[in-house]
Amino acid sequence: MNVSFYLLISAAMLSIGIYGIITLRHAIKIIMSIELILNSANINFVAFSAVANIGQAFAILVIAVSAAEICVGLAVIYNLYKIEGDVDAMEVDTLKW
Amino acid sequence: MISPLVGVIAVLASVMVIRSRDIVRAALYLIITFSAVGVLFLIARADFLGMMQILVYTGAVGVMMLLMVNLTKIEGSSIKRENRLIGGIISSIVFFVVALPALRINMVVNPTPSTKSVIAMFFHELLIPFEVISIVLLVALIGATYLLGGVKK
Repeated sequence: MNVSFYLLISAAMLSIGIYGIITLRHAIKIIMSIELILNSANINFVAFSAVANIGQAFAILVIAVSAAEICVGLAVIYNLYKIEGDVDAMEVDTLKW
Repeated sequence: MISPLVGVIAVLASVMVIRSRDIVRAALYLIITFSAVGVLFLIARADFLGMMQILVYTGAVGVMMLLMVNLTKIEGSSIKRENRLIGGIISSIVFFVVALPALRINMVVNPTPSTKSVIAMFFHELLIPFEVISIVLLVALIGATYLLGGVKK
């Protein structure tokens, strides 16, 4: 299988994730977009592990970091929901002065 | 030639994650995307990484997404999108910047299984990053527990 096919899928998922981060308002969907971007990075690592196998090891590290990120992010969103009663990312201005 | 089909499924499901109005359906499409990416890893003979993708993402992250979606149920108003024009312009620029050089690469994905060498790296070259990542996970666990238990309201 050719590497550029994997890179095309990765580029498509990256641009879809960026579009989601810019346009969406629901905080959980923004986190889903972040997950899409991290997955596209992993596809890139796996595609280029034809050159060096260390790419797959980095992809495993990326999976661990994204698990930590999603854990803290969802905890923050749940607190936001308990305080504000909504998870709209455009309405969150508690820290704004 | 199952690989292009799986790639198209991954891209279409990730489009549906953004497009779908219902947030529960978005989470389910996200699980489909994760599974398709895992199958792509398995096709590229990244065996350990593919199994980790299916275990961690479709198992843990998918279930956690569904749990959080059902815990924070809201009605309607914040589902809609805005800034569509700016988002479309920026994301298409990013797509072409990344994809046009990618088409020139003439290289074949490594077809040999690589689990043994990848795991051996975590005991030699990548030992310190491995330990650091375990500390990061521990801190995230403690932080999430504190955040979920700490608000009185």
